[in-house]
Amino acid sequence: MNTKYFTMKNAILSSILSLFVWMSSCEKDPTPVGETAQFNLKFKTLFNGEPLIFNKAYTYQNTPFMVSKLQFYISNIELTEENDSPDKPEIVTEIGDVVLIDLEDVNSDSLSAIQGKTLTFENIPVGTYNGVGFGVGVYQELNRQIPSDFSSSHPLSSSGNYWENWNSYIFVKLEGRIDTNGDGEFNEGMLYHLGTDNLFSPISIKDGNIELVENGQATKSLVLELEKIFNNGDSSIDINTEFFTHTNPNEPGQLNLSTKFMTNFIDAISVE
Amino acid sequence: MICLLIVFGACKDDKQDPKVEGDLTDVLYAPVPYVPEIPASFPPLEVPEDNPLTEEGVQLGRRLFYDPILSADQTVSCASCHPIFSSFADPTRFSFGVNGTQGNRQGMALINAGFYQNGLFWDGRVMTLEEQALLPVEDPLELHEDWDNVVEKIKNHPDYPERFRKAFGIENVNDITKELAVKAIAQFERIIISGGNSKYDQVLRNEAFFTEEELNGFDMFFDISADIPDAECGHCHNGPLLSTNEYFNNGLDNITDLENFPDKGRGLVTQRLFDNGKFRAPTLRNIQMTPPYMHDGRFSTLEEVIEHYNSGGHYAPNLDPLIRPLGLTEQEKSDLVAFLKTLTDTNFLNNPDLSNPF
Ligand code: HEC
Ligand code: HEC
Repeated sequence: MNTKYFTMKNAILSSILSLFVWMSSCEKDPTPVGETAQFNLKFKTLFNGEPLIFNKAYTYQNTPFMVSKLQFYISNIELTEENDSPDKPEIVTEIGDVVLIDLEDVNSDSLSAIQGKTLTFENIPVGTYNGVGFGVGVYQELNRQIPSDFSSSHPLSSSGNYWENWNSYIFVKLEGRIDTNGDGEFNEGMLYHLGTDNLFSPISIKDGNIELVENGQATKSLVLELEKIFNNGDSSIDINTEFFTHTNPNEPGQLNLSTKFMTNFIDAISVE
Repeated sequence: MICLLIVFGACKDDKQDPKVEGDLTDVLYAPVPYVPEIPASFPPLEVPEDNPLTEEGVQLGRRLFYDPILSADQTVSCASCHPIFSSFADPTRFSFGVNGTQGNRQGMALINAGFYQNGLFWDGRVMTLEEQALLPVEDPLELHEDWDNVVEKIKNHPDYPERFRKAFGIENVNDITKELAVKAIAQFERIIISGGNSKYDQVLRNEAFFTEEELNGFDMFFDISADIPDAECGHCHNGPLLSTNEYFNNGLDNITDLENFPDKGRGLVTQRLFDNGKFRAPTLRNIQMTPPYMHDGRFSTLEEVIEHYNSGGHYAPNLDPLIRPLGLTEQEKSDLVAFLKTLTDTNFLNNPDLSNPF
């Protein structure tokens, strides 16, 4: 457009033009607008095969403990699709940017704990997907943002979930209390706060068909098994001594414990 | 165009002679948007769509805030318990409301309350400032007045009806409601903003330097270095508002059972046993100005507060894991206090819109 002063006619013309451009670009899209479906991602937290209840006494390797908080971010949430020819890369459909999964509401009583926490993603193009992927934590680019950048309804707006020293969101919080001396009181606070870009951990779950038909929905149910966070071969955690970390990079012990925890956390997630 | 003129003309005729009793339409309604000064580091100020900030609304709210007209015997105003000189916090442990009735919680600082989106009061029982402002008037421990009476007093006041017209465009005195009154008060509260010019803010912007003591306190508060103890404070009091606004049991009460807290706090709101004894972690901005401390004002000095945290608090099954014996030396304790004092920003005292208008 070479005139700087828009008359009414020009403005209408240009908006018709842009509408046209927009429509034609839509047409090139393999999935025309309209054919969408809903995808649900479900998380259930278990301890020894039973739904985990917050503030309930459990025993792990003879040490009594209880969980009062479990929350984590997932980001870069996507569905994957096989390409026609196997040597071409998979087709990736981004379905969500970042979600904070706070299990307080679902894990406070056994009825809702059995149901688990369900995240819904709407307007997902229909198709046959072979897997779902996401990263535990906040991916690097997004992790450069700070809570003040967001309004209060955004999952990244809470200063309680950010730690300025690391320039990072707190990817995972597991908190509770633990009885390390067997006197019946949960004498020590248990706290694992994981963060920093290095601990961002992608997971890809490819266990076959996620069939999304128009206006339909499909659900992938995942479980997180708490005991596997502690018990995982070489990176096992001795909760009697290793019960506190802020992932403080200045304290190698904390960083080491958090790294183990994140490795185990990823391994503890599987398809139900 | 002509039709429009006719319609306008008709309107005018209606309202003139004989004038409806209580008519306010002669007063110009042309509200001017109020743009508060917000420190750069702060999160966005979220204002309800149906209560935008206007000069007229803020000034009306300011008057209502300072005016004992809201109380039963015309002796107590919001400002009685939230005076400006102490960062709008109550300098008295449990203030006396009307008739000398004594409360059971300490009146918190109102600075930056417009930024808190995770519940107000020590227990988070209301979500918005509009909702909040309805409560003190009828609370027998506070203003102990009936809203109907307050509204009646406002309607018969020589000055307020016009101000309600200017702020909200009402056409008649009888359109004054408690809902409009609390909207105005909430507008005033949203402009009570403090921060950005404390020594702490200046240091973060490289415009000033901490003393050695302050720096040491800062390092402990925010868990900066491996060589000195971690005081854990910054995990609950952080960000530009120096508050997560989350609810914790920070170990104040020695109880044998979660049912036994003298004040159940958050548990009263959520009805969850494990929330008993939890309170909102409040802002530490201007903390030097706002003794006494804690929901029940049990500590009169910052030294006592630090002593409490250093002790690790009292055990309870819901004691927060961050509350544990800190093992600080006398020097380290006083360094923490030195740091807390860098959070003071008295600039708001110079904001002409915040002071007593009467
Ligand atoms: C008699 C003393 C008293 C009077 C009068 C009083 N308040 Fe308060 N205010 C308190 C106390 C005590 C609390 C904390 C109460 C609680 O947590 O349960 C409080 C809390 C608040 C809060 C919550 C702040 C936050 O950060 O959550 C606001 C806002 C507030 N008052 C505004 C007002 C307004 C507006 C008025 C006048 C309409 C008023 N108060 C009158 C004592 C008083
Ligand atoms: C587990 C979270 C947590 C930690 C850690 C924590 N606080 Fe608090 N803080 C709170 C809560 C919750 C309150 C309100 C408690 C109440 O009134 O019952 C509070 C209240 C305060 C108050 C009183 C505020 C007022 O307006 O009355 C001060 C001062 C304070 N904390 C300073 C500190 C300092 C200094 C540290 C570190 C030594 C610290 N806090 C560590 C949660 C915490």
